[in-house]
Amino acid sequence: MNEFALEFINISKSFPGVQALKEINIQIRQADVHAIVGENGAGKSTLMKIAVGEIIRDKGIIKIFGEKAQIYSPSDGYRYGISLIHQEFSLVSSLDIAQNIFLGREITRGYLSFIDNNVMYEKTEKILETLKMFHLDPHIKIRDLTVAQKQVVEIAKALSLNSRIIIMDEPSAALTLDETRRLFEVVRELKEKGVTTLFISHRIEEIFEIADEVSILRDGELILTKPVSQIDRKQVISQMVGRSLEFVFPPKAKQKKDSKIILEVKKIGKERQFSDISFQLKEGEILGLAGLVGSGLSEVAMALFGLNPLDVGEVYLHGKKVNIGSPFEAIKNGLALLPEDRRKLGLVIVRSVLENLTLPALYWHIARKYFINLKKELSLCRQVQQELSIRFASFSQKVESLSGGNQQKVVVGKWLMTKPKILIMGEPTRGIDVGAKLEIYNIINSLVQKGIGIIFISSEFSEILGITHRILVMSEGRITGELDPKNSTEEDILKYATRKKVS
Amino acid sequence: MRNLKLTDMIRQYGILIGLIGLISAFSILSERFFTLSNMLIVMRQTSVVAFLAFGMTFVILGAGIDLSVGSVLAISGAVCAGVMQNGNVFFAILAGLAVGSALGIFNGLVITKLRIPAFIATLAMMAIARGGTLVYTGGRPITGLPSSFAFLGRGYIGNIPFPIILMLFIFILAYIILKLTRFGRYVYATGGNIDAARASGIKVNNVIISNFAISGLLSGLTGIILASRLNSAQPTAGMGYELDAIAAVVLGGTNLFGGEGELWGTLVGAFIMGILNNGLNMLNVSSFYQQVVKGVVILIAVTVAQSGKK
Repeated sequence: MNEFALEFINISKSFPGVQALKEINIQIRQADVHAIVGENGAGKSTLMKIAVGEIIRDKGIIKIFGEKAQIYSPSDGYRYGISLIHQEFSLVSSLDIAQNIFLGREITRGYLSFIDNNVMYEKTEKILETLKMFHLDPHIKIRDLTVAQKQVVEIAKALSLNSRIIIMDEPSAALTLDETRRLFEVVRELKEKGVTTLFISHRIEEIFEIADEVSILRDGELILTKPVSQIDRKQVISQMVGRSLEFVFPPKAKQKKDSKIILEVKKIGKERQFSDISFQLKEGEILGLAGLVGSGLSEVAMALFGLNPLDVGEVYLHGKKVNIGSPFEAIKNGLALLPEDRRKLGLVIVRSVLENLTLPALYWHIARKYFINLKKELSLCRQVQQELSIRFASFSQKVESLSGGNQQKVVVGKWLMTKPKILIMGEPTRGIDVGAKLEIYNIINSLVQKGIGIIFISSEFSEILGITHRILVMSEGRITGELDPKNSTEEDILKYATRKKVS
Repeated sequence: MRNLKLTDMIRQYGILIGLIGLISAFSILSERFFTLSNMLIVMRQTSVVAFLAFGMTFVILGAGIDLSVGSVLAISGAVCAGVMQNGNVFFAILAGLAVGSALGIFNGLVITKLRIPAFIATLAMMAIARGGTLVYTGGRPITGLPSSFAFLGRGYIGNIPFPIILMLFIFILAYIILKLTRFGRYVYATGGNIDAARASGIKVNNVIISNFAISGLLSGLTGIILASRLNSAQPTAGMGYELDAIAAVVLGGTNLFGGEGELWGTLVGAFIMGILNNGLNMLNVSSFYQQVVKGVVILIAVTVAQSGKK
């Protein structure tokens, strides 16, 4: 048998207007854990989808165990024993584990092809036993599983297909640290069985924890492939970004000495989400809220903006107690929320740039009575477009056709139009490229100079250190620490972010 | 990057091309078709579907559906006729419109407050209002309406039937509401992404209730016009009209999932439905076959529209 389980040879792929992959050459050893890293848009997902036949390559050869593979559709991928586990799972939530694992290839018996449940559940049980880190009953419905458990079901499904190569697209993105650790146990077991694992990740730490080799992609090109023992964290990051880290963050805006407190939150809480949250925000301050996924950060943001009613606690704006029960009242009080989930909460992607830009401001500044002042609307939009240098062909263009960075700028723009005093930003740079990130940072700095207070929520710790004046760290719905970014490191944040409740 | 491709053109204006094609075909097949008098007849027939379809456009743009328009039309017409028998024509019309609007608002409240899907809520209203009409009328037509009431359905201004003028008036009014008012923007935004609309400070429930109120009001108006035209309120009036109205909206290119669509498309869609009825009658196509033809036309039109989307 060949030493290499999977080889990409001169793989190229272009989409209209973008060269997604340029002559990629990677060789992946059998039973290795191989990490693929790169920024958003580097081409990682595209390459993985090409490997399983979900996207057809323009050029190049894929070899599996030394054999030239004809992979032109997902069923070809299965035939060669290669499976891709997506970020969005392809499981049917109303069916149970066994039914999902054997979906579309149910085991049947007799002329009428009745489903042979005994055999199906037995087989499922056997597969799940091999993944013993997670004890699962094959009769549990998918909808009752946690994200980590769903991932395990996907892995079980891949194993049931006799996959010898399993690709995972950001498996840890939605997992807690503990779950990630257990998932990695599963990966190690797979490795012992001779299964080859490729995984895409954003978290650099993970690569050093689990991977044997790492390949770094940038702008569709392979930068390097190396054993992890021959590379360190800093090198990985600088190769991913293509420049040294210090350059990424612009100098922070200076805070005035005598700035007033504009927002004060006292012991707010919501059952099962967060409790005992208190903090203050000054004008012109960038307050960082850091934490891992599931720490309650976005729930707090939604609550402040009236999208998630509070159980207890008080909120003061400019010293006055307020009760914000809806986004309408939040806007009225000078709040704005850049939501974490841009496509779900930030934009109406089927509508135009213009309509999206003015949506929240219409009532307050453009159409107080009934009719829209179209002239005023257009001129305000032009102003914002220039201020934020949003790039698009025309104001009537649909938002869905813009790049991620420009979409995010439209969301920033639409809130600037409401003239907010306090801007809550949830993961504002997620899913956008380095250039656009830098622009967003610059916008943030210019906003605080105007006296706007910003609550900056991020799970990227380097970013939060680079951009904020003060950091609060949350874990399991509580504030676990306050840090000064000037003399703190990512490790410090991580320490507080993983601190468990002491009871 | 402005590339107006052929497929985009077909998607945007395909329905208009279809309408012109249909008119041309019928003109060749029947010489009585493309005459001024017949065109006025077509337009008067179209107006009934158009009133309903304009209201339906608001509802569908807001990502809803209203199956109750045919039944609401019937009960509004019946109440209008009933009040008219022992009262004033003007108040009777107001009563009819009020019933339509009230039932529409009720639909909206059920959908937003009880969180029942529009399909189910309006399906229930379809049965309730139809049953209510039968109870109110005892299953018999209400006749003996004053001659002053005839103008709405059968009157003329100059040479043009009044319903056509009313159709154009409502078209312009609805167009202005959708394009130039804050509410119109809110309709599109709510239908396009209700969560983002809510997070932008829009009171989305009010938008949805208003859409159904508009649909109810226009259903009421249609019921009154029909009663005037037939000089009686029929308990079975408007049966199946909800499908014609939905078909007109969809033919007009409006996305059934909301957020995208134009009112002029609905007008063209309503015309296509009207012309099909009229033209097939002129060609002596049996009414059985007419149903089949209508269905096939809808399939073709939607297929073409979708092919333009890819």
